[in-house]
Amino acid sequence: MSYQETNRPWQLNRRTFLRGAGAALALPALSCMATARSTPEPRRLAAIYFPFGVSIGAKDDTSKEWYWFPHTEGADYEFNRNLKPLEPLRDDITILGGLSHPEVRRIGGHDSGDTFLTGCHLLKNDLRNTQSMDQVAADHFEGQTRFSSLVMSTDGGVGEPTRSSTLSYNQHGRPIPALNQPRQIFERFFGVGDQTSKRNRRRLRSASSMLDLVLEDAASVRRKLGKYDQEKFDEYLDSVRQVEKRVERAQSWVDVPKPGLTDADRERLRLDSDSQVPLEYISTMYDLMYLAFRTDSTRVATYQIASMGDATTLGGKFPQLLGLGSHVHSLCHDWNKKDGFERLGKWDQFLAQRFADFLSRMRDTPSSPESNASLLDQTTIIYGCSNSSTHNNNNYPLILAGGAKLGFKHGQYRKFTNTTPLNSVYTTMLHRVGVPINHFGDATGDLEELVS
Amino acid sequence: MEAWLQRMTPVAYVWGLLMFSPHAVSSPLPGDVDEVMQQRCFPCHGPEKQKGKLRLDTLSADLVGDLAAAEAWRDVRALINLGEMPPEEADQLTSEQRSVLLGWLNESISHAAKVRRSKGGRIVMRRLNQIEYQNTMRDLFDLDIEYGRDLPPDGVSVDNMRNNGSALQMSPIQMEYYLSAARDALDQVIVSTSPPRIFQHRFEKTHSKWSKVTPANRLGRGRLFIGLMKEDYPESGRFRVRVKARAELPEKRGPIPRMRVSVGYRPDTLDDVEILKEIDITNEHSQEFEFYGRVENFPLPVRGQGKFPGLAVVIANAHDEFGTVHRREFKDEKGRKKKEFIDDPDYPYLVIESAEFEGPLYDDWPPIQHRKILFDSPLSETNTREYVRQVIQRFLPRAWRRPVTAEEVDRYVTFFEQIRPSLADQREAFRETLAMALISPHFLYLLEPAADQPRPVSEYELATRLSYFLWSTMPDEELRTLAGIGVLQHSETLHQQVDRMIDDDRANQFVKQFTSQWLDLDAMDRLEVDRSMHPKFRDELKEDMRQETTQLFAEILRQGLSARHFIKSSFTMLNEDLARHYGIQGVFGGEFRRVSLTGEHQEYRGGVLSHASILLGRSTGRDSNLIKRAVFVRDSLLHDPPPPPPPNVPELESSDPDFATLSIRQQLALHTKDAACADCHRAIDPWGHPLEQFDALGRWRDTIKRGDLELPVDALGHLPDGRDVTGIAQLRDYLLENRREQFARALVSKLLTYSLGRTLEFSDENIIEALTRRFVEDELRLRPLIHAIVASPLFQNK
Repeated sequence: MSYQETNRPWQLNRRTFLRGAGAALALPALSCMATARSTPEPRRLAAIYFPFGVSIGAKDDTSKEWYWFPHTEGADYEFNRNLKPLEPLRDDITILGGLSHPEVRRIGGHDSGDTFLTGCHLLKNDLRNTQSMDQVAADHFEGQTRFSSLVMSTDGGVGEPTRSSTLSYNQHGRPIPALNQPRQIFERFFGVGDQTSKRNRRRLRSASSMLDLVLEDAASVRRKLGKYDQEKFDEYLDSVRQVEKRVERAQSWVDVPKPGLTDADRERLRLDSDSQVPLEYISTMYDLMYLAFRTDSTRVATYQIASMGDATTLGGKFPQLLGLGSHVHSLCHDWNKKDGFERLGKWDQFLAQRFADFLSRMRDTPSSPESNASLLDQTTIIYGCSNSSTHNNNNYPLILAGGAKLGFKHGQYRKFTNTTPLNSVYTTMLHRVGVPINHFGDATGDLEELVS
Repeated sequence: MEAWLQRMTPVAYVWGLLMFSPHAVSSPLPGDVDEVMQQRCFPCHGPEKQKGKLRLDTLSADLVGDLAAAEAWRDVRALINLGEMPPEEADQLTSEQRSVLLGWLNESISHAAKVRRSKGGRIVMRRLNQIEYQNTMRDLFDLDIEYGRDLPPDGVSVDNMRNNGSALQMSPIQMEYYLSAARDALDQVIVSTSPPRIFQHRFEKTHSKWSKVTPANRLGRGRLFIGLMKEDYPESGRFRVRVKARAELPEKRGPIPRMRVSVGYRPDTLDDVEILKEIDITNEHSQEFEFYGRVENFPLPVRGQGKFPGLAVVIANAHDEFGTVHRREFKDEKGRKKKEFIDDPDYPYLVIESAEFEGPLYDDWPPIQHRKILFDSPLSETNTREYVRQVIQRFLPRAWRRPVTAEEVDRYVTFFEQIRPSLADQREAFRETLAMALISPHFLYLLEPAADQPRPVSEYELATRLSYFLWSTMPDEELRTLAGIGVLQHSETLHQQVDRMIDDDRANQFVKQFTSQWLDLDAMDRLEVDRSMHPKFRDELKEDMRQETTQLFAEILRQGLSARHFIKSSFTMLNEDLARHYGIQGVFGGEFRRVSLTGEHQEYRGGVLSHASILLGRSTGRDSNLIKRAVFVRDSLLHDPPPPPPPNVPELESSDPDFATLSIRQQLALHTKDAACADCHRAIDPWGHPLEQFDALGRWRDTIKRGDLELPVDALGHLPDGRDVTGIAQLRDYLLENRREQFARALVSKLLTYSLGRTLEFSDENIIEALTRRFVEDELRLRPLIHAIVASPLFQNK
């Protein structure tokens, strides 16, 4: 089976649907069918993050080739070895220099991970974050796909404030737990399960009444609680309400089969991989993101490759497992030591290769069976870190990729001054996927130079 | 005098001396701070000029009361830390001025932060963490399977606790998985099908092909016994593995084989198995062993998909002299080069005579767990409504850890009736109804209704607090019964119950959870040992290292020893592998036991500072990490963690190409040339130097490798109080003699934090102080401390 056949199988041809539906005709039209009929090509957004910075050693003879940023600006830049794997994708990427979150420059170097997609001054805000840009998009797409977003990280869960293990924050600024087990993600997105069985449909219905009743009961519990407990309890209430919404949504999706995958897809996936095998694990996480996009199971995805939790992140030992010697944190600190820039550069290169593999797969797959745009053309992607050299919250190493059909123009290394907030890039991305907001966070406007 | 302590003991306490008042920051600046600011800050940010629209001389110094001022001061601190203020062209701060300013700023800001986080001394309602959830479900259903494996990882509090109400969040995805875990559990417990088929297998010879290891009945190095069940195996339920085995011991008394029985399958080149049981085999005559497990807790192949179909019982000899591997090369019948282990006369062999598998096991159908909930009763036929009511009436109080009202039962009965028609059968309606009880806040949280004033906890709340403190699970029947009669709060009953709970096996949960959170044993798992430096290291040893520390805690608790054994002890807890790692002779077998330290080992082993778990956890995976070891002493043992490094502090690094060859003392000296760094490091580094006697893996060393050089170990620490200590031996003695009370206080604080499930606050000072005194008087014995904590108003009040 080719991917064309498996692509979004539930976007049924109207006639097939009518023939098979019988009594179901009485139900209101499924929103997914409407999607297939009337909306233009899906627009998607992704963000990928790695911690602690990149190799930007002194520009002497030895380290020159291991410098993350290109040495010259504009369209004629040359790739240094760190990003060399991305060379074949030159026309689909823009390397961004000089950008950062101005507010975040005021907090500790390692405290900036939580804010990569928010730009929030955590300390001013009592360690409360604000909504991340991917979730702004997810809220916008809510209901159009089975899942509003795919949030992944190597550590999973939420971690601690300033050392969070997720990139995504909801509208209340609360961290969204990331998934980190490939098998779990796979089951959630593609597992056959008994999703369509009679039993599950019944269970969805009983879940609805169950959650109703739990909420009713909970409201009376809340009144009996003390002030602090009430705050805590609101988290619970909020979660139940959200699940209720999801159950409602699932009811409208329940008759739609989960997307099928090809044998080749399955072959590639290493669902048993974990953080002990970085190459297989990271590739599988990217593959899951790719499949989620290709099957239009979601329009928004984030992946945090490792967190800034120096002592806590499972991703910290990736370079050690790859034979590069140190923990990511130490590796980044050693950037100006003998051989340090080279070892860090090789880590940069390893990450760039994984990213390049993902981008190529996206580029080589049509966005939908009839489309002449590729998945990559329809997806805007930000890749990077909130430190340049370690602890330094300026000049984030960033790559903006994809989205040619959304209006992005690529092929350059662009340097900005530090008066340009990174959120302006995010605003541009959000506008280009169709989110009607004024601006995101402290953005000053769109960056016209990134689009045509 | 505190009544709660008096109740416990005839000794009276005088409180007057203890009264502690948190250093209140008054509104005007302290004199020395004001003086520095007059000189360095106010000229530009004072009455004349307000550069950057900032005026400091009128800014309130009450950071607790004035939030805006607190934020402004925080910015001021950041700018000083970053070296941006005073600006380059202005006169710079001297190092004394700097420490006056930063000292005041750090203290005031952290004080204000603490006060603002304060929950008024009350225990916050908290969600069960993953381990508590697992244990609670297991005990509620009396079924030992994995329940919450898909739940997202729990949040950890700033003080590294995993049962902290504030850090344990709830999220929609968490909620979704709670619902599915509850349903999965009830699918297992309430069965619909007819009795499942029972599979029986007997293996006398090993299956002949298995991944890269040679199958055999006589197990030496690199050999496995495989019992493979190709098609005929159960997918769920309890099973039994029966093994007939004997040991072949080397002639001289020494190593013994250790039988490791695992169950799993072979997905491809590697096998995926979980250990069912490990046991030392000491007898040369064959013996029969029986082990029980649940199939669903082991890796299962997907039928019809795998390259190597079938479920296997895999038996290994886990005794292994790691590192010394003798293999000889030879050519097989086809002339291919192969390697095999040499027959070693000193090696203890394990001979498997037979292995049997049987499952699923059940006495009766439906199984007992099912009948406990859907109990046998004529009512189930004659009066369904009444039957449903009774089932719910029995289940809810256990699930919610308290009596329930008729109204609550009614609500569930109504739900049952409402959903019953839309579901396939009655059992399905029961599953859904009971699942609802398991996503209710009454189950998921330790819920305690509040009053305006702190109130004594109820009997059931007390039972719940106790059981989650000491067992990490729901109260058992005895606790529930006592609470039901209303006698648990009687001090004598309470005392007896706490003793009973400590002596119960379930208290191992407390030992494990508390020890690993107090001493952050997980630090080991977060780093990878560098194999190029330590080629013989095996990851399995990390588990042994962890065991040494948790077993020491258990030994001290259960044998009524003084907690000073955590600092210095004439014994430690070892098994063969760990003893070999330490170079200690004469310990054979995989079981942990108490081992008296003799000779040189006595001088530096014993006490957690010599535990490989602690030392490896504070290493880089290559070498020791002096700073992390120092912070461990100050944080975990003395409860006085140093402030975190200021923003933008460089790590140990230098443009000096010979840096790598310098001793750690010289490296630190370079690093702390900067006055800003030196201040803090003076109070950190000396705690770490004495521990330089241990390498990354916690082994003793006399020299340290630096580049190509071998430098002698420099273990001298000039402690902040002026004392010099050299090496672990002196450090331990110093801690016991000079810091005994501080250590006592540290342990009291950590244990109290754990028992309450919340971060301690200023308002707890008096109680911490009283508990510490009592603890010191009790010769630092843990059991009386646990009794005192349980009797304290913090534990007894909501």
